[in-house]
This record gives sequence, structure tokens and C-alpha cells, in this order.
Amino acid sequence: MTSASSKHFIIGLPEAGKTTFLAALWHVVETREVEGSLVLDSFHGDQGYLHDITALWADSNKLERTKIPHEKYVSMHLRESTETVTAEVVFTDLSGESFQIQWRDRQMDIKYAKLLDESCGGLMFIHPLKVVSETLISDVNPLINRLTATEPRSAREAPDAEAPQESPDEAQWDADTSPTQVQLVDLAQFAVERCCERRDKIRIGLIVSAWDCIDSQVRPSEWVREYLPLLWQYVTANDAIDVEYFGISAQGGKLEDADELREVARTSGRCSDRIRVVLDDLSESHDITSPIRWVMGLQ
Amino acid sequence: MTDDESSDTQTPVSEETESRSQISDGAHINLPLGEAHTSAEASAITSRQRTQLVMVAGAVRSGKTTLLASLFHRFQKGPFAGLLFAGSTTLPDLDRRCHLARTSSRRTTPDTGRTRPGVPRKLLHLRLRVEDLTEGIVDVLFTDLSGEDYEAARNSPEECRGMRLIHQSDHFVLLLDGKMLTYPTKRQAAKHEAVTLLRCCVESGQLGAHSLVDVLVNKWDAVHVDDQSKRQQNIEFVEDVEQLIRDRFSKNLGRLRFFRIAARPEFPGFQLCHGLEDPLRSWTFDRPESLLERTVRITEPPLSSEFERFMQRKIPSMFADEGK
Repeated sequence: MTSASSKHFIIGLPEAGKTTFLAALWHVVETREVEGSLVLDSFHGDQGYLHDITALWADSNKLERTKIPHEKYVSMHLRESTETVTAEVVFTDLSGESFQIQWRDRQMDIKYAKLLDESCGGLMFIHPLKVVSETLISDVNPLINRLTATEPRSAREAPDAEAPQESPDEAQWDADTSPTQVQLVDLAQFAVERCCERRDKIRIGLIVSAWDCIDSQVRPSEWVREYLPLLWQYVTANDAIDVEYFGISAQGGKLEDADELREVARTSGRCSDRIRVVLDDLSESHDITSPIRWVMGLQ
Repeated sequence: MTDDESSDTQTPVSEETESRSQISDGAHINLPLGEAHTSAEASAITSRQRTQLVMVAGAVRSGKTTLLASLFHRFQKGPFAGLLFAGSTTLPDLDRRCHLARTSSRRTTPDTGRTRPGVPRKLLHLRLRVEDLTEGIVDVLFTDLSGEDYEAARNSPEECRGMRLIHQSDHFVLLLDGKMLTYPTKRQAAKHEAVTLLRCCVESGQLGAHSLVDVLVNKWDAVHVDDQSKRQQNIEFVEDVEQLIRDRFSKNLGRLRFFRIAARPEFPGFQLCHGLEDPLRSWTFDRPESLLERTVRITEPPLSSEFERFMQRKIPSMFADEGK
């Protein structure tokens, strides 16, 4: 029984935590283990793929990174468990490589483009340990000078220094090595531009995955502001974007501690007890559907 | 330099835009390449909302591209000059210009790739918004032309007149290489180049009473050497250059200001984009029209009666020509 339809996209570079999130989400909405979470109403897509990744997740095994040939589009229809009125949300699980292609090769999958045209919001995934920041030579050199007790040259000592010499092993610009935040801003711009052709505003849930790696006293928004300031500025400055921040550990901890994670699930009888969802007020729950509820406009 | 403005405008926008948005195969669509814009492409931005055009001029290696790259570096560290980065349609090209200043380039000294002369793609884009969000987003287009292009404009009034972006710009920014001004054998040439370019722009009518001009002495960290005596000599020479420019051009220009900056300092004690806070805010918000309004207000004779002042408030167009 579908009375409303809203579609939502996912953005995330490779190994940003999208597939793990999807596996945990599928488990939660299918089992209804977490009180108050959204529940599955209907589903379109390759159920076998979902069961495979969910089984791996449930046993705290490493999920293989999604490759483009195995890219799976998964559409879930979710609703509030206590409501008779349902809302439809369509999720697309894309491999991170397809987002790299958007940035590097300036090409967008046409199915994703059509989804953007129909979407009213989406989720953007960031893995805190996979963030590539730019390091400026001018920031590093003073440290090196200090370590090696080298005095910087004065302008007068180097009268021909106006033309820096080429380094023999100088690397060419490679889009794949561009800072993560630059790439994410560009991906967000593509999404916002297409979405906002038909609406004034969209909701974006920024999900910092593997939140167990982060200091527990930090708010997700503070973390993004500190480590991805360009992205933070972009979503803050644009009135067309309504943003909310989430810290999520879908695995509940490091896979090196898989035995402990399995023990949590075994003790409670619920795999979902491993899931940690931290809202920006630092409140926590196991409800991995809360970012979706927010982008759907249900809270 | 050939009139690249003309060649730009001869490229139909619709054709360019169409080729970039067409479906490239059955499965993908082409996205905008994110390169610096031609003038024609930039019209898509300027026609949409308030846009500031900032002409960044200067001699070869005075730091024009480095200035733009450094601003982008700076916004990657957080808000700057009370402004938030709100997006860009030229992100890949901005990122490319940053490359040689990063450790990932495997260089040991930072550099910026040379801008080739005569390229039609010369406008880099930043969307900026005041940090407290009290005002809307402003699109700012910065020119990224080569030093050779300005050399040609300096040497030929025809070439100078052909650079129509100078006249169209909201801000004309002249970069002086501060490092050059510290070399006794090169400083006079550096001064002469800057003065000649300004003179050509004024004499050709590209710059005038409508123009907001900022002269930026870049690489100020190289001027500000540790040796007190040398530093004083450097500063005195810079002051002489500034005074010369002020004496010769201030009466011809709507506004003429001087700043001392270090876009990408090499020496200790200076931060990235040193001295660029005030200029950037000005480039983002100050418009020549507002300057003109101020000029009219300052130069108009005082109205003789309360009735006339009342009439001016009610029907400002009646008094528009007064004071000019």
C-alpha cells in the first residue's frame, strides 16, 4: 500500500561504507529487530545479492568491495512500523568506482542520472580512514627545515629563484589522487543540480561510517567541519541543501575484533545490537534507518 | 595577443552546452568537464545571478594563477575572510592548478603550472557566501590569463583594446612580483612593466572612472627579509612604486588601492593567502556601480533647502545628473 513516493540517492567513493550500511539496513528492516525503526514494505532488486552481503555482515565478515560489473541497484520501500500510510524510498547501491568515474572521466551512469532527476534527497557516505587530504609542500617544508636545522634561503641569496626548478620525478596531476573533499563537493554539485531542477530544496544525510574509529565526544558535524571543511562549507552555504549529520558504525567495531562483535550478537540474540548510530546531539541508537527517516522528511 | 574575446563569443553557447550534455553512449551521460570557462560559457553563470568578474593581471610569474590556486587551497582548510566556499563549476581545473604545490606532485618546492598564452578557457569560478549567511551566494569569476597576454597588451594599444574583459571586469587586480622588487638588477623592469600596463589600460579607455583597481604587491614574505637594513630598503622601494602609481593614476580611476600579500609564502611568519582577506571580500561584494553612487553623493553640491532634499528622496531621477 503505497500512498507517497520519494526517491533517494546514495553518494560515496570506494570503501566509504555503503555496502556495509546496506547489509545492516537490510537486516534491520527485514527482521524488525530494532524498535521504532522503519520497516520493509516492498522490495525490488537482486535479493540474492542482499542476502549474501547481509549474511557476511551478520557473521562480522569483511564485505567485498563492490566492483562495477557487480553493481547492484537495490530498491527498498520503507515505512514507519506504526503507520498505515507508507512512504516509498528507493535506494540505489552503487560501487564507489562509478563516482570516481563521475569525477575523473566526467561521465554519469544514466540510471543514476534518472534517479537524481526524481530524487528529493540522499545519503552521502564518508569513511574517516579513507579521507585523502591535500598536503602542501609549503606546510611541510618548515617542519623539515626545523628537523634538519636548515635556514630558509633569503630572497637575496637566491636571485634566480623566481622560477622553481622541476623535480625529475615530478608526478602529473591525477584526478584519482585529488582530495576526497574536492571530489565529494563535485559529486554533490552534480546531484544537487539535477535534483533542484524540479524542487527548491533537497535533504542530504551526511554519514560518517566506521564511527567506532572516532573520538566519542565529537559530533558528526564537528568531525566533518574539521576533516572535510570544503564539503562542510558547501553544504552549509547552499540554501538548496538541508543537511543532517550521522555517525554510523554498521559493524559496531573493527573486524579485527570480530569475535567480540559476534559475542555481542550471540548474547543478545540480535545482530542489530552491534550497530551504533550517533546523531548530531550525540544521542545513540541501533536504528540504522534513522538517516533514511530524516531524508524522507519523517522527522 | 589575438582578440580571444571575439573568438569566444563566436562559439555558440547552445552548441557547446549541447555537446557536453549529450548522451555519450547507451549507459552514460557526459558531465561538464569542469574546465576554466570561455567567456561564452560564463554567460550561463552571469545570466543566472549576481556575478563578480575579477581581472587578475600581471607580468609572467608574478603569481596570478598561484593567487587563484592559493585561494582554493585556503578554502580547503576552512572559511576564509569571513566567507564560505559555496561551490564551483571549475573544480577539476582549480584542483589541477593546485597540484604542483602539493606533496603528491613529488616536488620539494611548490610551483604552479604556467598558463599558456592565448587560451580561450580563462575564467575560473568560485561561489562564495558570507559566513553568517546573512547575504546570498555570490558567483565570482577570476580571469586566468598568461603573463604573455598582458605583455602583448602592454606593448600594443590594439591588443589592449582587444582585451574586453578588462573593461567588463568589476575589479582589475594588478599583481606586482614583490620578489622581483627586491633584486637591484630587476626591480626597475618590474616597476616599469606594471606602470606601463596600467598606462596602456587607462589610455586605451579600458580602465577609467568606472574602474575599481587594486595593486597587490605579491610575495611580500620575500620583501620582508630578516635583515633590518635590507628590509627597510625593500619596503622603501615598494613605497616608491606605490606612490608613483598613485600619483600617475589615482585621478583617472574610480578607486585605486594597494595591498601587500603573500599568496603562497615561502618564508616563515606568513600564512597562506597572507593579506588577501580584505581584497577577497571587496572582490566579492564591492561593485563599480556602488562606487559610482558614492562618487555622485560625495561630489554633488549640498541641496539648498529641505524641500529640495525631500524632492530628491521622492524623485531621485530628477537629481541623477547633478554632481557629475
